[in-house]
Formats: sequence, structure tokens, C-alpha cells
Amino acid sequence: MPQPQLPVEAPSMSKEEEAEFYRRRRGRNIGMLVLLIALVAIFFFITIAKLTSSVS
Amino acid sequence: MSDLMRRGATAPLAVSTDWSELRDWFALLKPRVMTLVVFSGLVGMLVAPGHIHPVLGSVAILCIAVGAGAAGCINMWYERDIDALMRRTARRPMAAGRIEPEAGLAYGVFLAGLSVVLMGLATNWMAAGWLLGSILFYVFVYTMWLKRRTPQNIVIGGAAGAFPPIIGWVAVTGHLDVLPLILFAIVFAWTPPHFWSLSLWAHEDYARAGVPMLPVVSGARETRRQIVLYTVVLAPLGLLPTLLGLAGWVYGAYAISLGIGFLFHAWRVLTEPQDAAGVSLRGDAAARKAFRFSLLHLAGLFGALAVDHWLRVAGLL
Repeated sequence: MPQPQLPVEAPSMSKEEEAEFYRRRRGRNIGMLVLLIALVAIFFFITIAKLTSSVS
Repeated sequence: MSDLMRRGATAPLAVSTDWSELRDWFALLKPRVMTLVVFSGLVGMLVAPGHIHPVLGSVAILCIAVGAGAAGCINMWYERDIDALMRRTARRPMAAGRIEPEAGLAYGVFLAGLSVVLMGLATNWMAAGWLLGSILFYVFVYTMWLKRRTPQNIVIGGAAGAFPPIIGWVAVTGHLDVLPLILFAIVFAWTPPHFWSLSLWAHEDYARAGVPMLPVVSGARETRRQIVLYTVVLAPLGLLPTLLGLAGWVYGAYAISLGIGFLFHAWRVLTEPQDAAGVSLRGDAAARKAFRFSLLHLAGLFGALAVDHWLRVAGLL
């Protein structure tokens, strides 16, 4: 039995619009990735700085 | 067949309509305002007695920037209706419809909370409290309460932009002192002439949006007079750190010259050729110059304070 296609985006988009839509979403996703990595790094460095300050 | 697929086969799933770009999310943080906030917060931190680990100091500055940005973002959420009516702000992401208001608000609240918690963890909870206070003041007192109600909105609301030197200082020392309060007062007194210079040539925008800025309510002539009055208050305030022995004469010399410079520009705003209502006949050239000089004035004053502090610490003064 053929599987129905899941609609991913609004069907009215042209090919150019769809490409632009995915380009923007990719940009936002990359931004989110950078933000998360930065947060991890910030918490890590705060911890190290606090530890070294208390030791010295 | 799964339930998901069954729904997909009969009706479209909720599709994403988010056309925003990464730069829209950055624009929500009002990066130009952030520059001045970061600079004044940094100076507050540099002139504070004591030592802070460079990493923790950097995180504190980041928190001040993100906190100010988050407040700006919530401001844009609340003001998206009037932003859409003004030329200067119509292209802002929420006003232009590129970012959903709910998403923008959630983003602002999340960043505000994050900046406060991070500040508390990196430095101390007193600094975090001041940061939280500045965000709440900007959002609730300025944006929601004053801005649409009184032509004095920018006078009291300007306090929100004056908090960063205090936050920077408290991040280092853990307590409040006289010098950061003077820095607060300087930014507080600087904001009205700075902003009213801008509003002299942007008042049509405010009138269209129904925002009771001083030129809209009291006219251009009264605005010019008020600019001079606040500049007269600002000039001696700038000199106060030297007079109280909290800064040296390198800073004092800068404060005198910058104060005289701002007074000169304010006087030009008051006396430039104008019609009976006080509307400029020269395209508000004097107000534009005063606005540009006000930026130079604050940056110069705070920069001089930091340099003066270094010279004194190094024993050169």
C-alpha cells in the first residue's frame, strides 16, 4: 500500500521560495547551535575561573 | 499506519511559516543601543576598586549586553503596533511581521532570565539584582507605563540606560558607592538632551504613532529650551568626580571641554533660525549636530574616566 506523502511545507511555495525558506531555516538552526555551544563554553569557563580564584 | 501519517494524509500538519533570518533575531536585541550600554558598563567595571577574573569580567559584560538586548526585545514586542507606524522603526522584525510576537516575547524573556542568572553565577547576586532591576525598569516603568502617557517619558525612563555603570561596578565590588551613582546621574541627565535632539527631527513619526514626545506635546520651542536646561545640569555633573576627588584632572579637563562643547551645541539648537512654532528653517541641522555630539560627549567622558583611572593606578598622576 503506497504511503501518503507528509506535507512538509505549505504547498503554494514556488521552488525559489522553498529554497529561500530552507536557507533561512538553516541559518537559524546554525545560530541556535552556536548559541548552545557558547553557553556550554561559558558555563565551563565560569567554573574554571571560580575554581582557580578560590584556589589562589 | 501511524496516527501521525493518518493525520498527514487527510489534513496538512502544522507547517512552519517562520521566514525570519538569523539577523532578525540579532536585530531584536537593538545592537546599536547595546554598544553604549556595554561601554558604560565596562567603564563602571574598570574604575571600580578591586579585581575581577578576566573571564568573569567578560561574562559580566556579556550579561549586561544580553540583559539590555533582552529588555530591548521585550520593548519591541510591546511597541510593535506603534513601531509599524513610524518610518524609523517600521522595518523592525516584529513590527514588519517577520517574527511572530509570541516567539519574540519568549526570546526576550528567556534571554533576560539567562543574563540575570549568569551574572549571579559569574559575579555576585547583588549585580544580578541590579541587572534584573534595570530590565524590569525599562520594560515596566519606561515601556509600559511612561512612554505612551507623558512627555517626560524619556526623563524618568532614561534611568534604565543609566544602570550599566552601577552593574559593572557592583559586579567587581559587590556593593554600591558614590562614583557609580555619579555615573548613573551623568547618563540620566545626558539622556533627555540626547533623545530630544533626535526627536526634534523625528517628531512627525512620534505624532503619527501617538507617542507623547516633548516636541509633539509641547512643541519644538519648548523642546529646545529643555535641551539647554538639561545640558546646563549635565555639564557640572560631569565634573563632579574630579571635584569630589574620585577622578584626576585629566578626566576633569575632558569633562570641562566636553561640557562646554555640549552647551555650545545646545545653545545652537536653541538659537538656530526657526519659525514662530520653533520649527527649524535649516532642516534641524543644529539638532542633528547636537545629537551626534551627545554620543561623542558620553563616550569621551567615560573613556577619559577610564584613562584617568589607569594613569592614577599606574602612579602617573
